[in-house]
Amino acid sequence: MSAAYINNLVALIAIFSILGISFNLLMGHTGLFAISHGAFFGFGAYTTAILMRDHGWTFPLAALGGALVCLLVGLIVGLAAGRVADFYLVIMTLGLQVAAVELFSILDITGGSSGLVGIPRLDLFGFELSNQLVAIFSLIVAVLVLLYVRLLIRSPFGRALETVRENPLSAGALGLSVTWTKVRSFAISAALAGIAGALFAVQLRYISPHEFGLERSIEVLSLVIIGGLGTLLGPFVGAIVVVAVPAALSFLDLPASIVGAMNSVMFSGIVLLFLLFLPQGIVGGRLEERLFRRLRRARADSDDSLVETASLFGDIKLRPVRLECEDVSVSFGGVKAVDSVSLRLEPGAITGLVGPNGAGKTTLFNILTGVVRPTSGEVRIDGELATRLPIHIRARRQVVRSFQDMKLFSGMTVENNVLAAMTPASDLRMFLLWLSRRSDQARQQQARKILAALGLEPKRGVLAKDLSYAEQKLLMLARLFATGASCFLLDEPMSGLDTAARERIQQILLDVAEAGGTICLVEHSLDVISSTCTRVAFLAEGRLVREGDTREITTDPELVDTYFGV
Amino acid sequence: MSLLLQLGTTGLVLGLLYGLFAYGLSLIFATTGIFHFAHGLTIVAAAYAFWWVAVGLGLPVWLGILAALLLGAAVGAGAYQLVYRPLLKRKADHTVILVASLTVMTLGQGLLLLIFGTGPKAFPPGDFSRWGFALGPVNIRSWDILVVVSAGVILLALYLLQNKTSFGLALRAVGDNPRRAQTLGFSLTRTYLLAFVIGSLVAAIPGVLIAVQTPVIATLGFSLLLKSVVAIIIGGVGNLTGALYGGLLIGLAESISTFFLPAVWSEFVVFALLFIFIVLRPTGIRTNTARLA
Amino acid sequence: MKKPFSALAIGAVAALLLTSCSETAPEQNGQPAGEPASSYNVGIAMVLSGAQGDLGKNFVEYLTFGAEDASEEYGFDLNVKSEDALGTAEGGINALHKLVAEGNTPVIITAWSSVVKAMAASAADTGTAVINVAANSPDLAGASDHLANFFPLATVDIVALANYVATEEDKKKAAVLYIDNETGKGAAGAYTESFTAAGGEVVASEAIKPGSVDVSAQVAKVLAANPDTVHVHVLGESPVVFKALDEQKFDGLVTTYTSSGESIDERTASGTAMDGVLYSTLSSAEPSPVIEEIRIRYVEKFGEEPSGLSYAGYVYDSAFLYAEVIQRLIDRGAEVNGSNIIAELAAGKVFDLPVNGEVSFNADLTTTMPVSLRKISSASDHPSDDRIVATISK
Repeated sequence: MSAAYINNLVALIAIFSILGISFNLLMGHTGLFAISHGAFFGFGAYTTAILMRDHGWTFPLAALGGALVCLLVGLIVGLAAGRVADFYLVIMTLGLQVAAVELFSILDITGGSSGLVGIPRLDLFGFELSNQLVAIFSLIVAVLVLLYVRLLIRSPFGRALETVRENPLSAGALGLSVTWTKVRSFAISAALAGIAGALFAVQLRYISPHEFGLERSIEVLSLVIIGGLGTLLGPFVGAIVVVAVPAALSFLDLPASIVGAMNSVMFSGIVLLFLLFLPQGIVGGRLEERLFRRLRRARADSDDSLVETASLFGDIKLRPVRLECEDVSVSFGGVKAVDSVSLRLEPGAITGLVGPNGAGKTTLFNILTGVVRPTSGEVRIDGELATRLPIHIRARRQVVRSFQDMKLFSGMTVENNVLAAMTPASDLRMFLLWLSRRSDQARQQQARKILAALGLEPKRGVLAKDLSYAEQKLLMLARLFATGASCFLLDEPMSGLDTAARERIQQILLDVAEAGGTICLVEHSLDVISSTCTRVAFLAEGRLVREGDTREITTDPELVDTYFGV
Repeated sequence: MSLLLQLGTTGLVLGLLYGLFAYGLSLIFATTGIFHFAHGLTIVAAAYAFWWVAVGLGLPVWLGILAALLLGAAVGAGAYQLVYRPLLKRKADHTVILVASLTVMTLGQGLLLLIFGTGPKAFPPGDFSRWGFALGPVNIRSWDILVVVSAGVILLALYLLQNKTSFGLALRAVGDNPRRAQTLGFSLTRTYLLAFVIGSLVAAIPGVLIAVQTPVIATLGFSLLLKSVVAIIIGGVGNLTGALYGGLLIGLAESISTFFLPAVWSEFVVFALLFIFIVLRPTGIRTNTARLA
Repeated sequence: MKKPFSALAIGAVAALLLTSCSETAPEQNGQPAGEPASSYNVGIAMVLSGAQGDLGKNFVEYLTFGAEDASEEYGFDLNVKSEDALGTAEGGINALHKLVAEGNTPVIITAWSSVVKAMAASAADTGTAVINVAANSPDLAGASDHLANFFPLATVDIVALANYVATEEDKKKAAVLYIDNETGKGAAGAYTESFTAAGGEVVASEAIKPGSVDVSAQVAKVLAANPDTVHVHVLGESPVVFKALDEQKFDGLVTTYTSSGESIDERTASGTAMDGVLYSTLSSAEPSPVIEEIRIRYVEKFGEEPSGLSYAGYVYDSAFLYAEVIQRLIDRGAEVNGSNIIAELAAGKVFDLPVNGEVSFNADLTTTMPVSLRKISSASDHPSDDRIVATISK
């Protein structure tokens, strides 16, 4: 077996590993299914090739140029992705993929459909590498990319990516700019794919549009799934499978024509089998867990000496925030869900929002927090107009909410759920990652305190989906408190809980109000209302029927009858 | 001007094909919530089946049509039973289902290539195909008439099915609210299967029509799939008649744009439409939901 | 270092060690000099899958026939080793490496412009001679010092065709329908230039996407310009184009080129729509009897008609070309390796080949060949039965 042959294989494995890692970052970690990595691959390859061949640039700089072009394309796609969900994203990136190949085939600068010949050899500032060194160099770059992505995943930014994957709406409700996060994820994923493209260009030394088409994107998708979506080593394994298996097959001396169609059938078949029976891929599931567990244990020990604080806030006063809406209305398909409601939520007050099902309570919450835009009326935070502010900005202005179905980050640990909520946007950096690590450690202390106050500290390493119902509700609250907000809109926080849990939460709410927080609860139970809330507001058929002091409302027999029933 | 009219006519006819194809896809999506990429496979498989029976084996044309319908339905039903259903049962993430769908398509395409070989399969033009007449400045081919008539028949059948039969009721009920439909006694699996079969049958006919006119190659499914997706987005996801209109619009846009631009840009036009609709109105031209921030 | 990364590090070192068992100089691959061997390997990398796969498979057969016949004549065996080049650059390079590594082939016969270009880049590295037998992209000339273009490049045949149509057939207004890639664009350009130079005017020109389902829009557009002749230069899409021209009642002269004219599949699919079409081929005036023999042999072996017979001559001849080169190298005691093979071709001497007769390579390792024009009376005829209307010699 000739060395040139092996060099070629090794280099291709390295290149596809990088492609796989870049795709994994986007789909496995951020949960964004895009089918355009062939295009990113192409942008990187063409830019590098053109800079090297037609402008005499050296490889490192040309590759950087390629990565930058891809970064830009990734930014644009990310911005578009921010506005659309899943299936639309696939279609849009599919369109981008097809359009990119068209572009490569049409432009003169890319050599049109006949491609670019005569790409110079890989050189490091003038020093040309032999084929063997090129293969080794590619491997080294692949390992470096792996290390970087690993650091990224374990950084606060990586955590933010995970929250986008788990539950973008609640991530936004906790203050994360989901769009910006998606944009950055796209940008970096594209840039990495561009680097793979640069290596590809100098490996083959001739590129044509066909190399970067949909088949390529599907190939990348396949190798990541086979290796294991969301894993770090998966792409390497997948790349080996995708590159080496056809090579091995060919030594079987099958008639060459069968091999071509066989490849495609075989790979699709393998991917399908994996999806059906081994969705975590080869490396996924326990294998990588075991490999990395040593590390986690080493980290997790640090501080077990944590004093259980009885009170959540101690002597700290929360920054008072007044939230109000003025004459807001919104209609859905001809039905007025909320009709000219004006409500004022003051610091220190716990307002109960009551009414029959379908009265518009959740919709009102949606308006107050920015999930829905009212067709008329205004929302103000501390007197300032907030009607057009998106949900994550309101969260940063101290206004947060919970959801009826909690929307926890189920695949993340309790601790990470809280950490994700408390990380400010400024700390979500993609470079200089060691800086984030330091501040993260300080945050961990704070997170433990909050968990302790809610009795969740012992379960900090448990996945959110494995908690009991009551514990999940407590976690939901913990996250909200972790954001540092002072205005809380809680949608049925006590439903489904037993008395003990209810009391616990009640006490917490009273503490919060005493510390200066603003609270609004949607509740159905008269007991809860009378023991917790200072004010009550009635909503019926979208209209605010009555609003006032708790005692006066709960002692009015007519209202009690109508709205609380038996 | 006469060129424009001719282009418009061709565009409408093509658009009917796209529309039917998109309708089938939309029906499946509206009822099951699954975006069935492998629908592209259905139409190619149907085309190949028709060719093989009518040309390869030399049997009468109507047998070929039957074969196409059978294979088309089999592909749709098979994809549901063997792939989607296990995944749904496992409560797999919907991106996984999307990926699986895409994979079924590439797998099927590869299999077709293996079985039928790489040469394009053509239906030898008979005398019938040369028949045509002129309607003013516009040249109408026999194929055009065939497409219009078939489309009419299919759409009528679908209308009757959806509005006058219990099957149609099941499809709509399940599509609207699966859980509630279940409590009302509708079988989800059976209704899903029905949706796949009907949706695939609706795509099989365009497959036959294409096989009659153009040599069939395995990659044909993909470009049709792309266009039908655009059609669905334009018409509004989940909106069946919208998909039909979307298809017509695309056929027209594709043809008429060649009047102004070199023909190769026509695909760009389709994608430009796609981008515009996704960014500005992802809900399409025929839906009316409130704005979610 | 942490576990998984030490694993990777070990992997990297292992790869390094493996690759270090190589020399730094580009290795020569082939048989050692001295005694003539009893057999020599010849590699062939063609597109064997996808839409063009059938043509590629035909080519492999033509080479096999040539190898068998040449073996008899020369006294040493020629072993054919084939690989699927997939029609992409990556496929081409993989095929090259495979043939060199496993097949130990000092020469590789290939076609399809993208594949040839990819191989050209790596040919010198591996010391392999690459011979192009069917691609005609002009930028292949001199793409590598290890590439010999046996098949005539540029669009000599189209130029001759256009000229003929303008002068002999007296057409004044032409329209061109071409496949949207380099081959098509090149051909369209060549046709336009030649037709205009001969006094005609190209009134419309439209590109057709590969794999198009319907081309009536493009056809309508060009016919609206009232041409009296239409040149069709596409790949497998030709039946759709011919049918559309027929449906839209075009009664002028339709012309096309080798690949479509000689394709059995395309002729069958076009049916009567292709009757009366004039096409150019790159073969000599007198249809070589050898081609007919090849055709009969193919039918006997496979029970169906082969395609691409115009290319068959080049593929078949390449075996003899190689055999002759081997003979000359043996005679002067040189090693049969890639570089020497190329040198022998570049020497400019004449080779006497069964189909193409006397052939010699130009200084830039290209060739110049005669063109003949044929007219289809009935598409159901076999291409070699089409009447030759004109011959333009080299």
